[in-house]
Amino acid sequence: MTRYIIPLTTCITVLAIQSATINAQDKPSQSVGVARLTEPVVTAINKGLASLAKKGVQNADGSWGGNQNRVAETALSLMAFMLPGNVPGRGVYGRHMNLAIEYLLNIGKSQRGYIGTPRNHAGMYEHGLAVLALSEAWGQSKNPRIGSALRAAVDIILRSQNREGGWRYSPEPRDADLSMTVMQLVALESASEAGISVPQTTIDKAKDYVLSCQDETSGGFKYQPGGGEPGFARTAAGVMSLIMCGQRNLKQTQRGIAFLKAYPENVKFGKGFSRFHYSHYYAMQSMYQSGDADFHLWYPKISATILSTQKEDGSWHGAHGTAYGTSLSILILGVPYRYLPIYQR
Amino acid sequence: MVKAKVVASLLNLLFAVYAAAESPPATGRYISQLEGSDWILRSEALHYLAEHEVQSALTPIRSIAEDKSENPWIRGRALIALCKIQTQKDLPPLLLEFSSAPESIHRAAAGEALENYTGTAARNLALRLLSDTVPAVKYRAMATYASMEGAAAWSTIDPPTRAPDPPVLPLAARALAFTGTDEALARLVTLVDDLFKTQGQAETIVRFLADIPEPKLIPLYLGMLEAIEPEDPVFPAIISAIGKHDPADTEDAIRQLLTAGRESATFTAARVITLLIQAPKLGKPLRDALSNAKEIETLQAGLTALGCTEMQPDLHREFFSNFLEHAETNLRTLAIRCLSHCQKANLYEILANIIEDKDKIVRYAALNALLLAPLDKAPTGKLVAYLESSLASTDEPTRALGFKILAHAGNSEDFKPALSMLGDALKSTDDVRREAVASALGSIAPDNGIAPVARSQGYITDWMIVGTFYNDKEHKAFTGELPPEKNIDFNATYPSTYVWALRGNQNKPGEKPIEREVTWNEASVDRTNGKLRMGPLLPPPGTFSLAYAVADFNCTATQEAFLSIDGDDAFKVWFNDKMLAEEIAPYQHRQSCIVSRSQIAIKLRPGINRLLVKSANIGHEWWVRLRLTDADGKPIEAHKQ
Repeated sequence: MTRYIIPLTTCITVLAIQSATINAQDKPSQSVGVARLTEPVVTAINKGLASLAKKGVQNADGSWGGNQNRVAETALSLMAFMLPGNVPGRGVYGRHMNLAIEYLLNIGKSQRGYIGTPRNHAGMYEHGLAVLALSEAWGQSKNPRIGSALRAAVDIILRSQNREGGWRYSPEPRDADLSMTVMQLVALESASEAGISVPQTTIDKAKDYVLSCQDETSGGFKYQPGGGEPGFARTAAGVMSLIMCGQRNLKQTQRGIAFLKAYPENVKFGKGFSRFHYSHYYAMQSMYQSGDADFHLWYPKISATILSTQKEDGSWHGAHGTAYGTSLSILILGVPYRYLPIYQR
Repeated sequence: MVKAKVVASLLNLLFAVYAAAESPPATGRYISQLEGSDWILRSEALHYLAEHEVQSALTPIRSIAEDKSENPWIRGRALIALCKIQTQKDLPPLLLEFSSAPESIHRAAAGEALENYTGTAARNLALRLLSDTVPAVKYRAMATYASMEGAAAWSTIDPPTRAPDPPVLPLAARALAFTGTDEALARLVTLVDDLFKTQGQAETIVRFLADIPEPKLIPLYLGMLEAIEPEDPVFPAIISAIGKHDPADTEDAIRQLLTAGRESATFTAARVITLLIQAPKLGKPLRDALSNAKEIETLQAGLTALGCTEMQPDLHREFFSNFLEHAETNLRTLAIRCLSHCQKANLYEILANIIEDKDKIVRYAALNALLLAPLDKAPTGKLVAYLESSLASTDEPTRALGFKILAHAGNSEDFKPALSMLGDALKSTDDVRREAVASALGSIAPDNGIAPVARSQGYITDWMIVGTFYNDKEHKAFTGELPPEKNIDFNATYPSTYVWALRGNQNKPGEKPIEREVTWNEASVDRTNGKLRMGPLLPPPGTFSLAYAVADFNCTATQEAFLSIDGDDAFKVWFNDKMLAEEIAPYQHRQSCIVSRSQIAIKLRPGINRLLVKSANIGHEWWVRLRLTDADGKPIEAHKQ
């Protein structure tokens, strides 16, 4: 399977930050162009990657992180390296990336295709992230095992979809929640783009599940269809997954975007915002995919917060570990890079 | 006796639950349980730890086995567990000690523990215990000896198994099962027959045989099933025992059973297929056997088995269809259900006449089956004609199923014919029927078809709305007066504020409201139930908010009318500048807070009439709904200016 990588031919130049007027009922008519990165952002990303590659940070088995979320931290770190165009097996980070891919493949092999950290009760999160990372790596890496591992891993996702169309913590079709469903949906979309066969009915059912989580009054997304309140993180995730399913102009997607935009700025862009990285990983991609106006409204503010929290050694603190914080910070900052197919508009 | 039975079933259950687990999840708890005083719990723990061969439990178990002050039975169970967990090949000294103990219960335990060993020493010890004078020890040793020697044990076990006393019958049966020769199994069948005549022994023998991996036992189990009533409590134990065998062996045994020519055998085979071994290759033999069946129960069991998804019901479509005209209602409905499992069956074609059947039970089954049918088989554009008799039925459940199918399988191509047939019901004073029809039509209506359906029922559908404005929990803004209600100007822009009181930012005290500008926009109800849902029409978050809605509609003459209003959480309504109603529901967190006013008398004037609504929401759902009817309760359609 050949993956198409769109190289950035232009040099990275200074991002022209434009102010935009907030309109809670923006119509989906924004133009979509190429965004560029500022020099401080590029420097921060490079320092962040270097911190992940520093001796002793990557585990001997190719993974990053502690025992709890090792697969997730590895998948995210691998994506962070690929984001600015690094290729597995080549260049400064080629070996790190190859090792990471090997680690994910070995975990999958030892668990009949399932790539969640053993004994992690929410292993399906990790499984989805691993599928996403491997899908993005497939075609860039020469590792011949990726294809079969992806097929097996995707098969597990397909078999674990529940009747409502969603997924939950473990690879079995029981109950479902929005957060896990979005993770699997993104993974499936990415795998599908990579050439793995994914039935459209699975995507449609998952999309319906995501839509069923939308709160009628606010347009935000809830954890599960039945009840609870909508939240920023889950709305960002819901919107992102709908956009990935080609539903950018859907009324519900636009309502979700309006929800994200109306959310108080001092809270959502604040350093102490709950689930900061998780929320903005999805929110930033949503705004980027939504169009130039939304992107320019969002990116300068979130990148300012992230830049201000980078540590001396180039890493970022994260709720689930340093590799988690660092890789997600890079993935948020680097959204305008378009080497990863999933980041392409 | 009762206690022993409880323990036995408990042990069986535990074994079934935990046998497949890769690692014992409750090791710690069971090791602690060994220290208790309740012998049932201790024996349960011993069984569990032995089944999972938990090495860390060896020391406490050995302590129990060695402790001479312990209850002799528990000591025996401890020895058996110990020998199962230990990996050494040589006979442990403790086992030898038990085998020579004065208490027969210890010698019997030694005989049972001996099953874990092979070799000359074990064989000789089994032979020595075989000569024990206590039957429980002798027969236990005999079963162990047979497990070691197999067919070669026949000459040794032949005499004692000819007429064993009832208490040792299960052990004799076990010895015969291990021996496995034709003569041994023939005798086993005779013993089982005897056992089944003895109340309560059936479950015991199944327990004593269940772990023996001899495929020749499967026909024996099937014979047991055939001999008992379907509701017999031993039934699950037998099914569980069969389930431990290789599915291929079970499949062979069932195939054999189906050629027996006995109706009871066919019935048994069908039940086992349904419960245990859904092998598609058994489909044809089962069908052949069923062709000679006379009993309704046998045919029901057969249809149930063939209708299982794993049995590839599509292969049996013709067979199922043969029962659609059967005199027995149960068989007809079952055949319909089986057909609904056939992916390739065109149920709309097959059931076209049956949905009009005189027998309502059959009719319901057919209509329910259509709800499971693949949507691509539905007669698009002709669904209303297809369902005509159901939609017009005087039987309420039939009609409801008809509406359900229309909503489920219909699409916008069916909307016009549906509206033409059911449109009158929208003006009905029978609210249940009206709402059912509106809901079905709403499911298939194109976007521009929703409002007309709602309008036909008298709902006000076309509005201008503006919002949101901040409204606190005390409804200060709602009870006060804001600019839009002082002077309605659809071109005006209003400054407004909102607070974010949703999860993650719980309206902190002193938090500054966020400013924005709002304008009037056109809005229309998007549900056939007539609700004007505010959330999708206004900017987020919609909590602690209020909005205004205005509807101008035309009348040709003066008319007495009645206005009904409901909404969530609060509303004020003015008609032609005169306030008609004001209602505020008590706030309930995360719950609907609905208030309503019914049948407010108003007088419509010729020309334009205006409704102004002020609607407020603290949290959760937010909507308002207005309906106009005449004196007879019939809807009045309000068309916008």
